[in-house]
Amino acid sequence: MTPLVRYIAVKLIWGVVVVLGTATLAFIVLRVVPGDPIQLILAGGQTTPQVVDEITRQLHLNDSLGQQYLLYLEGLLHGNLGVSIVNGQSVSHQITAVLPTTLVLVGAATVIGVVLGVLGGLVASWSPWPIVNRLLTSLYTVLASLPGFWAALLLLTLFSFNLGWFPAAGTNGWGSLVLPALTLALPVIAIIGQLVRDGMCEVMLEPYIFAARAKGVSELSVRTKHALRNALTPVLTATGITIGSLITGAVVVEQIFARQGAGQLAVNAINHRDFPMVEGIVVVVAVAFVLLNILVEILHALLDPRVR
Amino acid sequence: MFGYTRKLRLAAVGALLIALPLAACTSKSASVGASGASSSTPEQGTPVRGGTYTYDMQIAPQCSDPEVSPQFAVQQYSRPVLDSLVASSDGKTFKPWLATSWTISPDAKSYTFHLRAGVTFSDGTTLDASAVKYNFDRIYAPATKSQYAKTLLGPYADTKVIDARTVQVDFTTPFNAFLASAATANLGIQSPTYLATAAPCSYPVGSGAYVIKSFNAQQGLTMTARPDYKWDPATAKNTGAAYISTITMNFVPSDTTRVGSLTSGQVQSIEAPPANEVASLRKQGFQIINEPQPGGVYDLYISQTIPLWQNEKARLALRDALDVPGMIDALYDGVYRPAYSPIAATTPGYLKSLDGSWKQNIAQANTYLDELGYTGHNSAGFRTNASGQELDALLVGADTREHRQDLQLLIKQAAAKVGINITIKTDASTSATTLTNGAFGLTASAHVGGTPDILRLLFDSQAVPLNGGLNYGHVSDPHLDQWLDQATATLDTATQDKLYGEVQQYVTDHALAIPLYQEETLNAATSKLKGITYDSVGYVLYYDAWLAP
Repeated sequence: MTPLVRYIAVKLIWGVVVVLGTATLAFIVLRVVPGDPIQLILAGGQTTPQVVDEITRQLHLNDSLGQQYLLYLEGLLHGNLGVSIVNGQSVSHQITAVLPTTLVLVGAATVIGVVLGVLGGLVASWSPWPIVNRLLTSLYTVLASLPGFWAALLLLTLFSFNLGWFPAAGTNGWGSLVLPALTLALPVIAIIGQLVRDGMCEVMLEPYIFAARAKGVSELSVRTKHALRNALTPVLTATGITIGSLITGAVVVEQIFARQGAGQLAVNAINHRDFPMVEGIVVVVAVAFVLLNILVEILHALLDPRVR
Repeated sequence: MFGYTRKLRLAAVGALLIALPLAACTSKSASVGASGASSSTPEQGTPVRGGTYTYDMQIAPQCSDPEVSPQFAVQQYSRPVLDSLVASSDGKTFKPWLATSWTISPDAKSYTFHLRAGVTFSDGTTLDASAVKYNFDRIYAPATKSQYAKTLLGPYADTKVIDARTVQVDFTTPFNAFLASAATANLGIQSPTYLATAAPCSYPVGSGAYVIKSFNAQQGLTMTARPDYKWDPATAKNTGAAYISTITMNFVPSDTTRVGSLTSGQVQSIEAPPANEVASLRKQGFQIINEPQPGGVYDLYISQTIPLWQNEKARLALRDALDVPGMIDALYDGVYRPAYSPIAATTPGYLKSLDGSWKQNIAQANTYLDELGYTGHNSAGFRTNASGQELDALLVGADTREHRQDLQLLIKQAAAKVGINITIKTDASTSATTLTNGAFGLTASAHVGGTPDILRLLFDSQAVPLNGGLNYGHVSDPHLDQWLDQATATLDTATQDKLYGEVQQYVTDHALAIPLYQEETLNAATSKLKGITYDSVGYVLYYDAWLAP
């Protein structure tokens, strides 16, 4: 087994442990919160004892906690996330129906964030005028601390309500993707921009840069080819972590822009105390998060042999 | 997630502050609303066929089937899609729709409907007596888990198919509210062929003037007018196909997004504009469509399982401490109206003499509390009794619609002024548990319904939540039970009105509930939308609606 394959295998095993741990946590939390799930489910609605019996049976609430947990794990292993309490439809089917739109949103936000962040970082570190650097650094501080829902409302007000360039709500085509993706990308631009700027400033002092310059390599080539590649390693790690926060951020953004997606599904499931649905979303998001991070770590290992 | 609405509101204020100069310099977008306002089309023009209408609703349904779900959104999109046996605009008078005529047995236990010929569902199958039976039996079956439609069927026994076009619905006990129930979209007739194979909680397929073409439970739906529709309700002006060709309904939870989409002309109508935006929208030329909904008002229910609240003086003291009209006007700026009876003024049988019959009286509240023995005061300023026990109460409610959590705070402040310490719990699990067992002190909720029979669900001793009723206060009073039983059993409207009047008077006199405000369907729409009418429970009927060019 080559070191790289072993590295990947270890990461995968840890990934399985993380997903199982998350799933177990979701199971425990939902059963530890005070209140009878039946009453939670039926709150506000009008019901009869038959309905209560039906739901008790469906959720196996008469079984012991241990038995319920085993049933739950068995379902997970078979890829069966159960049936929504609220609408009786398959949980995995409902999640897979909306997951692609969330992934597209998160993917678009990542691309916008990385591209603009790297460009901004390059500009800040290269600009002959210190004011540019200072302005960009202040802008990054603002962007990184801007709450997502507020940024969303600012972008909506300007680009949708006033200028009418993009639709305010919905999941129809590229137009409706721009504002939500930009909202999610703002803090990513800030974090990556800052990392690239700092990395570049550090790398530019390395001896091999002097060597490259001495060889007569052009300044553009020194910066983009020699320096940037080294400054990008921390960016990759940061991107992996950021994607996790983007999945969480999608919850708020999907609500405001009324986008279809896993975030909205989660909010609705929580509001309606749809336990199987909440558990299902937690597991699926955990799997997505783990896979993305493994991918980032593999890329990292490919870029930098020292981490293998 | 739980502080989210408040944060959003703050954010919206911030965003608007920032947007002000923008709005001032972009005259293009400002003129979108204005041109709608200055439109020269007269109010009573000739209806125009065609057009696309987009409506942003507030909350996406969890379950899309009107026979199962109690949600507003489901009733809103089901109404244009489903036809009912009878039609009613006021809940009192009933006109033919799917049924051309009907008879009611003298004991109000059996209803026979004669169905119109030639009605087809949009899937091509025929609407006949067995389709009616299929729907009612399905709603009543425990496996369907109906959370609302089932209560509309009351003491349902079964449905008999007499012949292809005659159907008889039987009840175990007299049930005079059935015509009003049958007029709602929740008891609209869906295609049995479709239901037999549809997944649970699917969107409805019926015989209505509109047909759902695409449906996404998270995103919204599109429906188109059915060209061969010709069995319109006798309450409508239009005949044949509906005027507007395509209706799109989106689910957009954010208030700011909905309001902005309307003012920037991206949609023609929105549900539930925030009350504080209503005046500004009206000024910009949008029409505010608010139709009062009959049924139980947003009532503060007082649990009769708590010893303190079993005492009438305590309940009266609480009511006397509150300036209900003042609170409602402060919070809703005249959009929602204060209530004086446990049922809304638009409910048949409403007791008009209750209007203004009680008001804030702090001196009287203090007297009652003194008489109850709460004469001391602790360091926090709340009343205590001889054994040093504080006068406190638990108010539960997880509901965030219509700024209801602000209303809870106003109630808490007013009660504190007479020395009652109200603790508010807004988490879903406390409210769900205590509402079922009655271990809360106070809780408020609203329950739309087309008939005064809602009083039975609210105050009959049998109608506690565990039995599928709405008697959150766990009120158990022989007077009320007797009047309610008699009212359900009689077909004579005058007798019904008298008995339901007694119930409302008794509940008010003994402060068994404190009415707060009347529920409404609240929409804001472009002035080009004409001909909107409502069904008996306040939901919009699109059949007569049209868009001015």
